[in-house]
Amino acid sequence: MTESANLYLRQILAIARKDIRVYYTKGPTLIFGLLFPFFFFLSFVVGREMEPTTLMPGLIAMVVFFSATAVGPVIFPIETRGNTLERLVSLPVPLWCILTGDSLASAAFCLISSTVPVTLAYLLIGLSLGQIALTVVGVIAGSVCFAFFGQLLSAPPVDQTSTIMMLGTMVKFPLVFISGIFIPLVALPEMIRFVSLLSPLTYLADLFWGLLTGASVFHPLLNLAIIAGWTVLLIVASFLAHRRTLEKRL
Amino acid sequence: MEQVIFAEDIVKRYGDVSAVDGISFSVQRGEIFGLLGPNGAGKTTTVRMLTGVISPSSGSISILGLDMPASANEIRKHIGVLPETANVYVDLTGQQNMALFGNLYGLKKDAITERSAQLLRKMNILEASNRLAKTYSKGMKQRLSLSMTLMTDGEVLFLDEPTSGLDAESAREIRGVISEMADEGRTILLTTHNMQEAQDLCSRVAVINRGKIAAIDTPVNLRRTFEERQSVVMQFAQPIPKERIQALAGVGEVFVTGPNVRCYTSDPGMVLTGLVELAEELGIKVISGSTETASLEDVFLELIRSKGERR
Repeated sequence: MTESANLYLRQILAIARKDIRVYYTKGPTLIFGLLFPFFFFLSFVVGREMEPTTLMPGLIAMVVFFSATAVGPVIFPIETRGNTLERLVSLPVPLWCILTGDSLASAAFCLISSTVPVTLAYLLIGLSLGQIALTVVGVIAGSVCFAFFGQLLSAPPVDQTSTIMMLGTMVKFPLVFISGIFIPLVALPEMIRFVSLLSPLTYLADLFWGLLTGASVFHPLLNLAIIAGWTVLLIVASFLAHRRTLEKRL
Repeated sequence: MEQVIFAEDIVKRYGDVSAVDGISFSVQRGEIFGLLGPNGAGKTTTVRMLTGVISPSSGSISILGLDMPASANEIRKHIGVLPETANVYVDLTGQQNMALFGNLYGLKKDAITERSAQLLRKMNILEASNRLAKTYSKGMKQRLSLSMTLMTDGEVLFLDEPTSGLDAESAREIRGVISEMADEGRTILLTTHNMQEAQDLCSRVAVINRGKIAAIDTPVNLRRTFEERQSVVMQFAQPIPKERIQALAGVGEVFVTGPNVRCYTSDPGMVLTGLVELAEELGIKVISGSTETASLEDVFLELIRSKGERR
């Protein structure tokens, strides 16, 4: 590894470590990352007789989606308000390193949170080793993709977390309903299925539906490839959006 | 001498408003250069442009011979920046804040440990370094913030209002550290709205207001201007004729509003005595009297005026 690549890696890890220490226990992170998907799931399940197999894909996808997008939107408004962002950008740390470090912390939060539904799925459904491995790969891919999605949501130059969370909720809620979280993509009406193809969450949900119940539209590898494509798109969009709004934050 | 900081005709516009309007100056190696001006004068915007945090609308900047912002990342490896507020991570301990900055500067683990201990000891916060920064006083936070800036051992330091809002003791300690850093050969650009601080620390000072530089001079020369802009403010029971006041020794400009009088002077004591004697002679009672030092706005106006007269 070259000297500069080594430095960038250290900077990314230092930023991620700082985020883990500072932002994991913040109220909005816990509310939107843990409580929200839990109660969302309960509101869907309570009073309905459903097999665990039909519950798990939606639960895992929802936990990945909400927890991966919970930390990123908290960081930038708080760092703007506390003027710590100005300190970071006056150091020899490129903006992409800051964004990658923040996203790494978001993805790690998602991985930790997702262990609960994945373990539940393993215990209730009795997954094979191959199913578990692909589920874990899906969780990792989803965590990275949606960490940058959360990062993109935090680009507006505001210093109030509530503003970003409100904006995020306006985007995230419709995505949950159109992405085949509770009803597999194959069972969605054709019109909604067409719209759902525009959402990156659709491919993660379809991946889990396919792995856990066999009810999927796309091959698991195609789903993973599309998620990877979305990840690249979101990384670029997030970087461009933050570069554009950075001066307005100071 | 080598120019370490060079700014030529830099402008920063936000819409139709120019926060900085055509500033030019240079700072030599080893110099403490002050940007002196009231709040909102454009000092912080200037520092942000010099450190590449924001880009100038026009003009050119060079730090250590490299163009800013084109070579921002390379330049930042050799500079330390202390922004205006004591912006440390309050949810991290002092030690964790130091380690974060050490890692971001790319220092090795041993170097981080050694340098952190050295700086925190120097700033008198070593014992508190395992406590969360949210438990620190404002002065402690500012000392921690300055320690974080110094983790890089940068040869050029940009310190934006380093003593603003601190108690006298903390401010004195910070000034002491700045002097030591200068003695170690660092080039320092310091912004302040405190004339005394500029005089005590800086070898040269640029007076800035409304985004423009009015003068660049040594503190001694600028102080002469300040002295001429001291004033005596008095209130009498009845109005006193302006021509009688102007006839007094040592009086410069005079402003009379009813029974209220303001006289600009370089010798407030003499003018105060003269005004009291004049009031006694006219049989008018003195209600109140005080002396005031020049505000930065006064100094700026005086500098603008004297520049105009020289032309």
